[in-house]
Amino acid sequence: MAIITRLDRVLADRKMQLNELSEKVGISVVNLSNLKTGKVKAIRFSTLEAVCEALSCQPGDLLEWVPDEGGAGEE
Amino acid sequence: MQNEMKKRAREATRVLRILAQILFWLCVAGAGVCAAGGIVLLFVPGDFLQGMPGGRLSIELGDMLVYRLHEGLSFQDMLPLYRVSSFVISVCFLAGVFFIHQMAQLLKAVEEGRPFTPDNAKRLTIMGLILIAFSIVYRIGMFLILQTTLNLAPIPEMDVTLSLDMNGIFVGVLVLVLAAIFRYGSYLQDEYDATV
Repeated sequence: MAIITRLDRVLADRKMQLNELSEKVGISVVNLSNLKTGKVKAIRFSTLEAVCEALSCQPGDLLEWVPDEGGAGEE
Repeated sequence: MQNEMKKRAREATRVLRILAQILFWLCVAGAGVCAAGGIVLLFVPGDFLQGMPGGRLSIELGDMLVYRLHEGLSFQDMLPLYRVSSFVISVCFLAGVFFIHQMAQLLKAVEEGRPFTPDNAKRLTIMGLILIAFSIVYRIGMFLILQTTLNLAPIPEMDVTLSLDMNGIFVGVLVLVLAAIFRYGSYLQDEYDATV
């Protein structure tokens, strides 16, 4: 997948655990874990807003575009 | 309020599933008894139960008109009709077994709160194909029964013709359309489940 999440990196920088973020944001640990491991297909703006507010970061800190090895991202 | 409605829907689905399971076992029993009866009748010798009355032949035209063909036929005379009828009825019950089994599985998934899954779409596809196949097979079965009846008691200038039951085929096609809708629904469910 071309879009990857850097949630683990931001959590480490803020020295926050996933369950603590879950309580702040109101999303289950399972869903946050799926977000962290890149198993989700989409993220709602409301979720992104809540996570950014809890972690005091920008959306760009959480999401990163990486071109696919097959060059599918080049157009 | 929403939870209450969900609870009622779940309860209604549970009742339907239990009814479907009862019907399933009735169809299994019916198919077994009729198939066994048909096999036994195949090997029954021609002079078995000689002299035993077989019954009365009649044809119903619509729901209110009965034409009595022949009264006082012996068991031996009626044997071909009993053989054909038992196999046709067992095929009908067998179709019911497969159809109701799929329906019960589908109702179970709905009861568990997972209506839109690829498995349910597949079950609806199977149900639609069974309905279409059954409407054809049933017509062929009825043709054989009526043909055997007229062979036993011919009516001048009356023939049996084979025609398709378009109602059954139409309902089967509708169920196939529903299966396609459920397939798309399962795609949407998957997209929703994978959205945080």
